[in-house]
Amino acid sequence: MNGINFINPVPPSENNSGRRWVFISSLIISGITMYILFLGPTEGYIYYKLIQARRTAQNETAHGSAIAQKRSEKELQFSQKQHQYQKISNYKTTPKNPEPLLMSISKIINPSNIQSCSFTQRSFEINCLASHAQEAQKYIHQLAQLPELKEVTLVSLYKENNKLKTTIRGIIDKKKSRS
Amino acid sequence: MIRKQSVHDAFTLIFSPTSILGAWLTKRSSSPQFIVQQLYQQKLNHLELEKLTIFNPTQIGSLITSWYKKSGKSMPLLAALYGPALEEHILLLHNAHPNSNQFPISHAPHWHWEYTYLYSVDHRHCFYLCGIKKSLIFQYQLMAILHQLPLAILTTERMALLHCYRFLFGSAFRAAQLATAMISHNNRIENLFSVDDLPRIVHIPSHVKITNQTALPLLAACGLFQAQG
Repeated sequence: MNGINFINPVPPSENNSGRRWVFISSLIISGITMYILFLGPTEGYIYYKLIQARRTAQNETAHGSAIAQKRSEKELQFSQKQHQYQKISNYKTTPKNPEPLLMSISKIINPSNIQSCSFTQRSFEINCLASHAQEAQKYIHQLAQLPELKEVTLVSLYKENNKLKTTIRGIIDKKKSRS
Repeated sequence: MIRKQSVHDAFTLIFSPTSILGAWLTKRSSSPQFIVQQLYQQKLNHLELEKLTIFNPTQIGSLITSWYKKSGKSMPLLAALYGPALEEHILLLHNAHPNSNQFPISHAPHWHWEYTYLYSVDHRHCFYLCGIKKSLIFQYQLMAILHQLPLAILTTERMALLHCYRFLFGSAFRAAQLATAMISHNNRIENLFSVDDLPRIVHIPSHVKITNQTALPLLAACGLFQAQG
């Protein structure tokens, strides 16, 4: 014969354990809250004071001036380098830049065969090695095709160590030079 | 070796439409009898608990709270209801483990039904079935919450009497003996007890007055205490 109970009450043991849980949780939460409220600002104030002292020390001692000087020197060096880079990039795009002409010449004559290549304002001289006379002729013919060069002539051709030492001169046409 | 005896207290309430009976009972492990520490009774003449509905929760609540606080102790509150608001039946079924569909109940959602096995006779099994409206249960729970009363049991008076009957026989209780007694009394649980049963179960101090009207509710109060375990 089982008893009939219309309600499901919470057992007293569970009630007591719940009460204990609430008490301990309230204690812990209030302890943490008190710590945050009272000790947190104190720590923050100490941190703020330390930062201020550090700033003052930096400004008043030689260390701060040394850092400032180093910073300014770095900036100066950087700006100077920037200026030099700018000059180089500007020169690359000017008509005075001989790089495009040199690239064209190196496509015609193998750079390993070029002994010297000198340019003046209006003329140029190339000393190179050719294996035979037809090759030297080919060089002259191809150099004459370049729009920047005119009056390309063979100045000298003589044999040296089984190779033909070739000297080619001509005039640089400023108007047609590529920039 | 001196054994420390344990003492258990409980405050029991028997609600009926015409009266409320409250009893502070104590049981010591050294004695089989209950002790009535205090007995209170209040007649209800103004429909405060008509059809077991708490029409005057303030008066009922303050009455119970004043009785409870006079004890000065924290103990569980055990309550039993008696009245027309309850649907109670003693049924004979062929099934020893019936489900709710086999009982002749309305299955309305606002009713709460409970049943318990009593005895078996002639291949049929007798059950005590009781039903109560859920709103009534809620009312008593709310009243207990409002007045911070530790309500542990809410049952019917007849169920409490069955527990008392079982306690009366102790280890000699048998379902067959209950069957014989119930059949001889036309399944009326109130008639299972006689005048001599009360002093066997409970010790009544001289300052507590018992009348004929309070005898059966007091037996039910002892049954409630026993149901608590």
